[in-house]
Amino acid sequence: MIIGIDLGTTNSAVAVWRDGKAELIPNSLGHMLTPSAVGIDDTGELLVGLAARERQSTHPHLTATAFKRYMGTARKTRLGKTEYTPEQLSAMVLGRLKADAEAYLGEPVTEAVITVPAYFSDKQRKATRRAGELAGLKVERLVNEPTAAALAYGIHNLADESRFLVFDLGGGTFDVSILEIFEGVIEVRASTGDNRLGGEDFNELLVSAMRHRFEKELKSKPDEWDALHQVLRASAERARRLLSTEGSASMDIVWKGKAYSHTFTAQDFDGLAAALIERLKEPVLRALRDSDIRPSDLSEIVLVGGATRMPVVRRTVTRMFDRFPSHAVNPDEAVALGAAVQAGLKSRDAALREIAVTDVCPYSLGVDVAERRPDGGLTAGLFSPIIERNIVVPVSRQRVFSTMHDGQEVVHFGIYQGESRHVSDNILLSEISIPVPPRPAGHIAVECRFTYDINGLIEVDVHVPITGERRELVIVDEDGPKGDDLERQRAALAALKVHPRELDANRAAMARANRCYEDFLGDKRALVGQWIGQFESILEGQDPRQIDHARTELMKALDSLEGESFL
Amino acid sequence: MTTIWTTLGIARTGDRSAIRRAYAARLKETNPEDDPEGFKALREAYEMALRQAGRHAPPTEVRVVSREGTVAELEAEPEPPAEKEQSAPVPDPDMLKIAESLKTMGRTHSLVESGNVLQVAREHLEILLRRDSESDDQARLEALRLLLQLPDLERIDTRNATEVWLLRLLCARIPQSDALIGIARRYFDWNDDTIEHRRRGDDAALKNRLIEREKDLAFLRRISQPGSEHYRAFRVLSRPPTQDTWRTRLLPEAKLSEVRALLVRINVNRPQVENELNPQTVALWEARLARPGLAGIHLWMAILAAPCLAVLILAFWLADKIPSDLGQSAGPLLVLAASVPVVWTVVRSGAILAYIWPRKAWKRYADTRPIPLFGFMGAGGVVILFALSTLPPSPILGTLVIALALVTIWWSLVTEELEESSGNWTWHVRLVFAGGVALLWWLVGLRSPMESETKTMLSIAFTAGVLFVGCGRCRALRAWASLKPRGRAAIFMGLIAACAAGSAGLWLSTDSVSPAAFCLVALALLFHQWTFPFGKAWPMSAIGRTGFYVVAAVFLKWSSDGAGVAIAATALTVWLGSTWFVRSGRAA
Repeated sequence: MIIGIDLGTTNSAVAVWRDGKAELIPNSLGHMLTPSAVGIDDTGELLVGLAARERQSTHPHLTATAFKRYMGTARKTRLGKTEYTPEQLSAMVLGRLKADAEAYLGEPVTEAVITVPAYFSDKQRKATRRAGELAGLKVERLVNEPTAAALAYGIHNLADESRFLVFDLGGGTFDVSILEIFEGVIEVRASTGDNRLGGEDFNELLVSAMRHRFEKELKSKPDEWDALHQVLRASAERARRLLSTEGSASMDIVWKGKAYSHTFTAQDFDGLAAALIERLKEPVLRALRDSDIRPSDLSEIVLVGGATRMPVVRRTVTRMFDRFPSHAVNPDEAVALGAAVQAGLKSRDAALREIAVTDVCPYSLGVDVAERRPDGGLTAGLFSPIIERNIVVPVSRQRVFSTMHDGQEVVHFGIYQGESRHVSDNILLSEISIPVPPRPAGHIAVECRFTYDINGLIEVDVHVPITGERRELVIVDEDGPKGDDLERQRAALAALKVHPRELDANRAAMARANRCYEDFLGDKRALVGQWIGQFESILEGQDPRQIDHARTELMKALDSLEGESFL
Repeated sequence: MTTIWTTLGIARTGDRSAIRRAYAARLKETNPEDDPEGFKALREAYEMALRQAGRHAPPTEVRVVSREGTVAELEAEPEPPAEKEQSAPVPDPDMLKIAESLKTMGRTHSLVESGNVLQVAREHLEILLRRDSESDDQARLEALRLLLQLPDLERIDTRNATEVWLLRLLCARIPQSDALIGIARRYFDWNDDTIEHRRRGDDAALKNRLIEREKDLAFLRRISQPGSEHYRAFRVLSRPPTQDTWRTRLLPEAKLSEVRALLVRINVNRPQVENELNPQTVALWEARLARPGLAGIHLWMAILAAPCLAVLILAFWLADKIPSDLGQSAGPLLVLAASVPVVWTVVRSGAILAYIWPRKAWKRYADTRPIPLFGFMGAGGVVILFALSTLPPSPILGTLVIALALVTIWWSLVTEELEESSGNWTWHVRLVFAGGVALLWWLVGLRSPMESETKTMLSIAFTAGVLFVGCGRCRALRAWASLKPRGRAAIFMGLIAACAAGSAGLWLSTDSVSPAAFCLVALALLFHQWTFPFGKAWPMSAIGRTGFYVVAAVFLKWSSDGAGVAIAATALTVWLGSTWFVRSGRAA
């Protein structure tokens, strides 16, 4: 059985294709979404999900969130005594999702389809794949998130010929894809995006507004910055979610025994967000341009990702397309469901026989070239794309280059990914050189062939026809651990003591109560303290029925105190 | 044989939906997952077939077009699509402002009443751009800002239509629309820094045109700033041609080299800017630059050369007539100082004047015969020069030497080998330089209490050095050039050390610095300047200058007179400055 996993910045979800439909798998708490948060408990046990996220503001040094934003970089996060890379942290989340799926399906799960933002670069994709391997999952396929969302949406609308736009604003990334369905073919026409724009950036707006508001009071020492930031971020997330439904929301924090509160109105927030909203437009325009489709040709605008719940985002989309976006899919769940559809396709499920999906390569790939200027000088470092962005994959493309200097003995290609005319602004993936016989400039032709396969693997093949010389290169994972090292890391992760799954619900409730205790002052704090005491004594009694009842009561009490909990 | 049609499994057709159906059917078997190669072939066939079927929109699109209107229709129709959502925003302050502005222009437009803000704003801008007056820039900017602020533009359809409309409008009205390009470009994010490879048709060309125009304008703004290096040349070139008189030659507004630099820059980087200059002036200047003529500086030198020559002759004369201290010490220095502009003038103006014909002739000759002979002839002149300089001094001989030196310099100018691509004159300048040094030495020797043997030794050393440097293309130097930098550095260091040791030895044995040692140092300096072993980063001219200050110091110790020290230092500086000037003038 292949599972489909949506590994998100804020939340993750897992789903499976079973009996002709995709279904989400609940976690140990009965929730469909599992926060992408990892923490170390006071006992040294590993916490994943809601329990970890609730401890974010109370134990900032023992909790990691939003690590997907650093996927593909060497940035490490310290949890307790050990430092972890983003892929190790992701692997912990994936491991938990795998365990949930195994518990739900009653069989071991070893293969998965994992979603990534369409605009993830080659490096970020490789890191995600590695995270899957670290969690003991064979990653059958990486699917672009908007494509997955479109699969979840399109699978029910196969009969019509239609084009639609998926607007996917998640916790940390923004993707826009335009898809076309005809004759059972789901074809991605264009994918664009911004892999550094998401709900977290909107939280940061509130955080910095709050810091600005209490500039003097919240001045802290550098070693406390992180803790303060975590407190502010947790509170900003809460306020932002509230602003999606209310006209105003107050951001309350307790820092060093003092309470600070500031009320933001929806207008305030819209004003703060103007610059970020502006950044939403460019990818949409580019997707339309690249796919050669006019807004009026689109039959539907599909919103995906939790951050599209923000009214300001919805309003912008409505204005851009002069119509209301579709409510056909649940923005939080569509991606995981789509991943499950892809898993079903991969395992050749009978119900999906008549469907074919094609995806695109969202960025241009090419080599660096030099050009002769009219005055005879050379301009080096120009980008010559070979595979242009938004070409249907798998694809092979070839371009012929010629030598630049008399008697040149070697031709050197830098392989780049990006859209800028100057390679210095693009990402260097690899390099390749090939010897050529010395001849006058321009007399030697060198063929350069790029192949981009369905899994995003890039192969470069350089060939000099005159000598028959040939060089091949597969762009491999240069940063990642190899062989033994990977095995060692996997063993190290497996050796971590994990908090028992069945006790997760209690741990999460306890973490929430503790957070509330720190979030309030005065009478309310005393009240929460009292509740914690009661709950602890019932936990000691070890009567499952009584514990479940007490937990539900505690959650209700906390809901009444701070508003409903969210995922 | 496989064609795209057999790959798709249908007969040749222009029907897009049939092609799509065939592709979809084949895709289920030729899955990108299992059969990537098959899929690539299928996809290629599909895309090719669609291209062959023409760029007709599929039926769904046609329907849409008829409903929404194409861009062209939008321009013609007074009803843009935005009108539907803008049902009744009549008391819009922007709108009122525009309406006011339209009225002041004497245009009451039915659109003002219609309540369609976007259309009104567009109309407004078009009218403003149609007028020629430059003073409207502010109003135009204001109008464009208003237009771009309209909420209608948030709609992608409207935005795209407006973008195309604005592109065409700005391009069509280029001088008037100059001030608006920047804002429009930033708003619609037109830039040439990303690769845009999808077919963008005329729009891409228009965009590029505007981007280039904006850059041209920025360039124009920069060069019309008084502080800019091209300011004077720009001022001259943008005005109608002035009459070419002695006055304008002597006191030109812009130097020849400045005008040349500006024209080259415009031709290479911003060809469109030439339209902003006065075409007649440009044509005249280009003609003037095409022939190696006389610039103001040459005339100045010619004018100065006459009194200098008189001083020179006077110095020779005085040196013999007045037996005073002044005559003793200042004589050679006067000679030195006065001869600098003379040599310089002849090099600059004399050689250039007598240059075109012999050079052409030489070129004709050189095309058919091996060249080195001519180089050696230049060097030969230098040899004779040195041979003469060993004879006892006399005014007649002095004149002869000067004349010979000038001829040698002239000859080397004519037969110089200018490297086509890089404009590298160094070899030749070096020869002239060496000849000049020799000449000076000899003149100094006229009055110096030097032993005849020393003088001979000095002359032989110099001759050897100049021959070595002057015939730069001979085998020895080529071998030197082929050495690895490290080897060259080692040899060079060895040479310097030998010179130093030799000087020290001579110093100790004769208690005055021997001219031989001095000439060895000079030789090393000349030699290493030609192929300096430490790479190009080293400031070569600085080394050359330093070298000659060393020479000057030695010379001054030798002349042992306060006034002489000062004058000689000045003379040497002037000399060095002039050689620098020759070089930089050439490079431009």
